[in-house]
Amino acid sequence: MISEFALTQLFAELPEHAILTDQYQKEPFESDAYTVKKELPGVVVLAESVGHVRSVLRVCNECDIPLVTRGAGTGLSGGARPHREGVLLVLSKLNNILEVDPLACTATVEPGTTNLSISEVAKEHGLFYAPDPSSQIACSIGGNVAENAGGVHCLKYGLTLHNVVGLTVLTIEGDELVFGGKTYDWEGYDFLALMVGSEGMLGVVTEITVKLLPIPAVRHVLLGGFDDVEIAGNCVAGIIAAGVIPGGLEMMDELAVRAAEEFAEVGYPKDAKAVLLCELDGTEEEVTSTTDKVAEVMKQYDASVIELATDPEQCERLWLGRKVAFPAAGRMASDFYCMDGSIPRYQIGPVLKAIAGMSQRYNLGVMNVFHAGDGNLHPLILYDASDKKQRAGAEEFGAEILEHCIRVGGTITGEHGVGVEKIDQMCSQFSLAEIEQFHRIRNVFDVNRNMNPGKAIPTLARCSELGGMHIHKGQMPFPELSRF
Amino acid sequence: MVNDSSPLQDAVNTALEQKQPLRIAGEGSKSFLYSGDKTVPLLATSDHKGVIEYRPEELVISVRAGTKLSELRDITAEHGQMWACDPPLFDGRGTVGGAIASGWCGPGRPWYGTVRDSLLGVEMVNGYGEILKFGGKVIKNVAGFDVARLLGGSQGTLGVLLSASLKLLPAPEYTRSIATSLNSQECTSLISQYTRKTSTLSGTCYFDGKLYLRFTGVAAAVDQDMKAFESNDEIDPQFWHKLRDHTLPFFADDKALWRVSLSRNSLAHSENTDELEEVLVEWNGSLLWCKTQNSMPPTISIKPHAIRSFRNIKHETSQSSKYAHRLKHAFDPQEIFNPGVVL
Repeated sequence: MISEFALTQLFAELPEHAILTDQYQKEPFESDAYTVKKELPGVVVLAESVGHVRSVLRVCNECDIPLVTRGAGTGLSGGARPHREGVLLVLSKLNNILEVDPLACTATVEPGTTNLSISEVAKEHGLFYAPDPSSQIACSIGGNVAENAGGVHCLKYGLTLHNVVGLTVLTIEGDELVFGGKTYDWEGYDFLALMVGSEGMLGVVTEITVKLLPIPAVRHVLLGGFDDVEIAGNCVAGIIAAGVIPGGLEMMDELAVRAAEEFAEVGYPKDAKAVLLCELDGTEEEVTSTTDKVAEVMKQYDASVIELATDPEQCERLWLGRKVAFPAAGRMASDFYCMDGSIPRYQIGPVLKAIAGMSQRYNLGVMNVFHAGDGNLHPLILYDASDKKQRAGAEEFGAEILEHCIRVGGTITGEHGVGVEKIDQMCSQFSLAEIEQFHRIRNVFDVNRNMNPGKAIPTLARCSELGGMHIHKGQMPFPELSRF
Repeated sequence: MVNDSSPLQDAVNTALEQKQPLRIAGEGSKSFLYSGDKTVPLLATSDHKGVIEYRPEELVISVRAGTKLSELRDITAEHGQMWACDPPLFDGRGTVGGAIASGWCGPGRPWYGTVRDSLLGVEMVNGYGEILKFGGKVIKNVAGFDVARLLGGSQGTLGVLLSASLKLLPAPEYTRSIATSLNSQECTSLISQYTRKTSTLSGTCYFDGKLYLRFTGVAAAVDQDMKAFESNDEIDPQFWHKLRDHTLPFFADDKALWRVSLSRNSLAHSENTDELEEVLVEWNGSLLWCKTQNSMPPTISIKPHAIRSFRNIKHETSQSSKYAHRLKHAFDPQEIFNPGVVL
């Protein structure tokens, strides 16, 4: 519950309709798209202006209560899971596109703007915004910044980090900070890089300037079917090694292909053990040349089927199967748990094999559909949430996949963020000294730790409980540090 | 070649014990840019060099901070790859650590991104004497705050960089460059056409009434783009390296040199540049190099802009913001790294 005092302060500063206090009003906000762990927020504020954001920050700071910021709520790691004693600040209504500057190739938008709507507006100038998380129709750009969201086209065009050029941020102390802008460089620390992917723990972003790119003149999609998952994985590394950076390079395993076919009948080779989808874009000459190169590599890796789509309709058809993979997984099992480990490309084959082994051990199905070109895995663990044993098994299975990713030189999250979901694995990936450095950075902006508490960066105590802390002769390491 | 990072960690710990600040440097190729206290002892990272791991098929290389940029270039070129942000080598002694600390990139910046864009992971010693690793060797990684990229351009104020993992790109198979005589109005219109269409353009430079253009990529695509310039003089692509390393005649004097950042694509108009003694324009019109006879900053009427002193100008001390000051202290509470350098 939130204190009466804090509520009174909010009502004094904000219009009544912007504040939701009744349980039935708050329930839709009890989780983001990571629905495993839910919590009813103390109070929900639907901000309608930057002034409202300022007010909420001031109240949270003065009353020393938690603040969780949320956009569309499509996040997959629980980064926007509310706090029962705090404020959930929803920015969806701050969705104005403030400026499209075709000369500078930038757009300046409010955080609640949906990802896709930026490209829709930029289209009339022949431009687009490249990062395209699969939820792009609904997800908001503020959340993309908070999580450093990725997508299919990040292989060639970069992550959110590479495509955001300016940010306006309000800190919990009430300062408005402007980082970056329309110039190609700026003085001072790269706070912009620090803010992107900081999971709402350092400030609230109120304005975002993104880079726009020319819409490619030509786009081809090549489909390759393979009789062996590991060989398909090696083909991914082969394409990159041939000097080609495709617009997108995605892989689907046998189960994913079957699910997609049953769902949408796009004409994928049903008997293939793995399918690669490779998008090539650029000028006509460029695309013709790279298409030949990729087809040649696919042949070298014994692709059993190679199909080339050159007109927009055919390309869309080949992409459709990939796009429906998640809903198609929903038909394979009552629930699925989407993982997000990232690994070096040369490990794709061996890691998929290891995951198949785990799948047998946990007796739970797994479907792989992922950004192969980036080495960003998305194993979908199929389970039944109403079965307690299966639910626990799915979580354990997921954790084991992440630990395996760390072991082969990868990371626990490629693009979904840590949130609450992967906070324990942070203790495996980072040393205590590194975690402590993260906390010091957090203190730069939020010394009272009210911004999105309990997310992204585990406390030292938590890592200690998980066995990450080595206690030597009964002495705690770093005795001078406070434990929180 | 020193493979062990402990001498650098030891040096930091000794400095902490003795409360003796340090000035971090690689080979000193950018020492003219150093704005801090030059009287403090030097901590040289130049011996901490060499490739730790290079997997060409991953497009990732991990190198120690003291590795020379020229060595990195040669090793990656053997596999048809490059560190695309193309930092200046200046007198040829530039190191990877120095490139990251300065955050400087070459003429391809608008197309290839910055130093930090390609920085996947780092290993460093902070001001507590601890060796820390952030980021990694994979392309996508959002675990924890992005400390690796925060170090880009931090001028050695947050710690001693030990090693870095860098994202590489395939080197273009083909490059052609031309020079064409145009006035600045014609330049503006030509360049703005290119920013809104797919092309192989990857470098622009304007000075002395001439526009220099570089096209890189697939041969057929480059040739197609070059058709519009058939009547113009083709130039040696070495021009771009000279531009990057400031060995063009434009840079060869003792005049005060200023670096001016403008908003994207706002190429300097002639009426604005007339007031300047001499100017060279890069990055699609967004980066100006201005020379002045006395040490007074140039007058620029295009807004917004940021003017920075570069060479042959006395550095002025500035005040850091509240958050920059706190960030420095989060990494270096005793202020032992590069005292006097303020960001």
